Amino acid sequence: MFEERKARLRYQLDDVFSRSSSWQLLLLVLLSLIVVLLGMTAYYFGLFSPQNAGVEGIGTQIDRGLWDSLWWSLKHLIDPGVFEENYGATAPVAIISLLIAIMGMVIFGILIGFISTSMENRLASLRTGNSPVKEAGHILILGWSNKINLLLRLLAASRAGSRIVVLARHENVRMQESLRADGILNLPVKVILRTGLPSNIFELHRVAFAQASCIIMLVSETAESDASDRDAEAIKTAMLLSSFEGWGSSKPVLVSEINRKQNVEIAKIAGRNEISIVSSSEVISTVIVQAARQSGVSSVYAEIFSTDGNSIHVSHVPGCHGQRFGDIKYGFHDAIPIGVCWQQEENGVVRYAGGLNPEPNYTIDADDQLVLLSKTEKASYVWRRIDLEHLPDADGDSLAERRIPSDDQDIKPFDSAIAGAEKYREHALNRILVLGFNDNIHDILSEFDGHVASDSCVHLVSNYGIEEATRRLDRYATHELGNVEINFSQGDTASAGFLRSLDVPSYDCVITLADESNDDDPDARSIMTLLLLSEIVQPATETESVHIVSELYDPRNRELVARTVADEVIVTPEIVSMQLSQISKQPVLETIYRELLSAGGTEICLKSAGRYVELGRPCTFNDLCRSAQAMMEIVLGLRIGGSTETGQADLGVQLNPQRDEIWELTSNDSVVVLAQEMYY
Amino acid sequence: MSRILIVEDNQMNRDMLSRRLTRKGFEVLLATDGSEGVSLARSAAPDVILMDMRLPTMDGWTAARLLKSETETRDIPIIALTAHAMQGDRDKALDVGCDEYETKPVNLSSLLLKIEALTKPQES
Repeated sequence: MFEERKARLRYQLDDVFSRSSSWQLLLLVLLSLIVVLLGMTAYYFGLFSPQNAGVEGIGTQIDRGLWDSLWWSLKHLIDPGVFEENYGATAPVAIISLLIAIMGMVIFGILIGFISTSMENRLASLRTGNSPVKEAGHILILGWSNKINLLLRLLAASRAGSRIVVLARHENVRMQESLRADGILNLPVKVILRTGLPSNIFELHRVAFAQASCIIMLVSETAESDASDRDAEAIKTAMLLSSFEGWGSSKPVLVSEINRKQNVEIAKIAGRNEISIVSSSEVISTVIVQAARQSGVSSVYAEIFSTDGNSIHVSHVPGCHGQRFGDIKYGFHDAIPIGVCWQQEENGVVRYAGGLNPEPNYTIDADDQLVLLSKTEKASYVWRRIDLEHLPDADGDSLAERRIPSDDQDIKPFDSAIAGAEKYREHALNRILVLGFNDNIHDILSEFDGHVASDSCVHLVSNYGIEEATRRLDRYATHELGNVEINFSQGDTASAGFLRSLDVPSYDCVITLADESNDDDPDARSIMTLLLLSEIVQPATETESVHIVSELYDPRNRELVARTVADEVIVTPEIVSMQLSQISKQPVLETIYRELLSAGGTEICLKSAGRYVELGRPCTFNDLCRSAQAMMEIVLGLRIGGSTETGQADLGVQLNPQRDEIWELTSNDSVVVLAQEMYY
Repeated sequence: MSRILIVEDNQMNRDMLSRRLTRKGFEVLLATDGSEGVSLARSAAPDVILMDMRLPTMDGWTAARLLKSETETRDIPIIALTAHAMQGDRDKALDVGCDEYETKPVNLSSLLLKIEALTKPQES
């Protein structure tokens, strides 16, 4: 019985101590009170008896009763040193005095320990990121991956002064160190880190998610090897956020990264179509395949998705209502209209709908917004009505005779230069060599399958054996590839001998993927492979060079790769981060980006300048626009290629160039256009 | 008011075309792949079908061939939507029984003329 009561008391004490610090403090106060009361019992043991009248430590000035007893007991508890002042007191009083002094030392010992522990816990809590966030209007990032630093950099560039809260499973110290090492802490944003599970509603409340202006969900890096598993948490978080009804004054913009393309649909359902979804595997695979098809296109995408170059903006432009889409481009001096969009309600949800590269006769409605390519986002774009009768081209001709036909006329080529224009031919992709292996490989192959001729062959080379590579490929397979035949080889892509044995110059295109099939740093391996390829493909440059596309994970390695033979360098986490950052500012961009990157929709193409204008003759941007319009295309810019014969430097891609600039284009130059599906 | 079924997997193309046709007073039905298009054609009996050829699950050529082989749908005119540069796609579309073709981006005035011609009552 006694043992049971003792155990029960101990359990209750443990329970109190395991609770919050205020409970522990209360217990300490209670204990002090009991000791003081016990000390006051000295009154009954002759505290104020005549024998103790001369004792220095026993005061009798108040009432020689309750208050003097309380004072005597309390001062022994607070200061054990006063025990000495009881010299000469009667034995019972001296013993009680000693006991209170001892208890006082115990209680103050506990108090000091308690304060010390509380402070340590507080510091530990700050270190581990467990404390709540008291912010409003902040940007909230849920999750942690190799994209976080790039994303923070982009957000700092586009939204300087913002407060960005990051909630992720990782330890605060590790996150802090990562930010410090990458110089993120010096950026003009305040980054607040918290450790916690993003798919837990209580954790979300801790980071004030309901008061955020924007929530970006990243797929976290975890130990799970299956990339689909990593989407589960993002999908669960999307469900939590879409079902939450306690938003503050305005609902934040919600953007989520999803790793696998095949999980986009379920993420859309989970997010009730209220969350913009960016599928990283889809974005990466499409950009890589587009870059393989067309030289120069990766730099176009890099600029369009970036925050500092020419990017896509959506805006109502006063005065355009009632105008035909084909006419308005001449009225902008610093922007190119590339499409229209509007809001429409579907199943109770308002979504952005629209189209890129609409036909020139499309009449702009009052609720239409223009999709514009321009260098800076503006509160209002200036459009002025242009009298096409008097707008001359580089030859001094009027645009009047070349203006787009009326609604009941067919659009036909109207320029003699176009009649004799070159036929558009894509870079042939019959034999493709892929060096390296990562989780995006299946989506890359699927994307190739949609773009190449039926007898095309992709040769996959990695550190995996054929069985392992097949198993990994099959894990994400959703359908049979119809056009592409796949061959596997196992080997070291950083070995000169092995690369030579592959007969690299015989391929139309070589892609070096960030290789996860071995333990090396993927970028380091890609750089080694590219250095070797520089030697191997060199002899073939005089005839027809192999088009080489390289994927990197770290943007800091871009400069290193620029010195190699790679024609196109794609920092894939950067492309995804750019999209997340841009969509978090303008959700309508989700649809537009998906359209730009999807096979079969409107695409960005680089076509030879001879297709649009007579080479060697002066031309302006308007000349290019007119020719392109006759072929249902929109000109976005130029790529001025270098030539060793003429000494012309390679000026790279220039999007949205000056309207009054006059060029004499050569066969080395290309025109960047937006065109409807260009299947092989 | 004619009822038009648009079978198109590309969301923006679908949005754009349906908006323009709705503005012109047509009732528009939407399907995103060939098999959905076939079942909607059977159940809703549209006056005209605008069929993209490159579709997931069941492509436009297969869907058109299927519709033209069935008694209840064979008389529904099908206009194939093909890419501007893909002459081969158009020829293939006419081979499987499509009545007309239109290139993308769609020239609405040209499309309207074709719809009108295909839906005009035949003179006996």
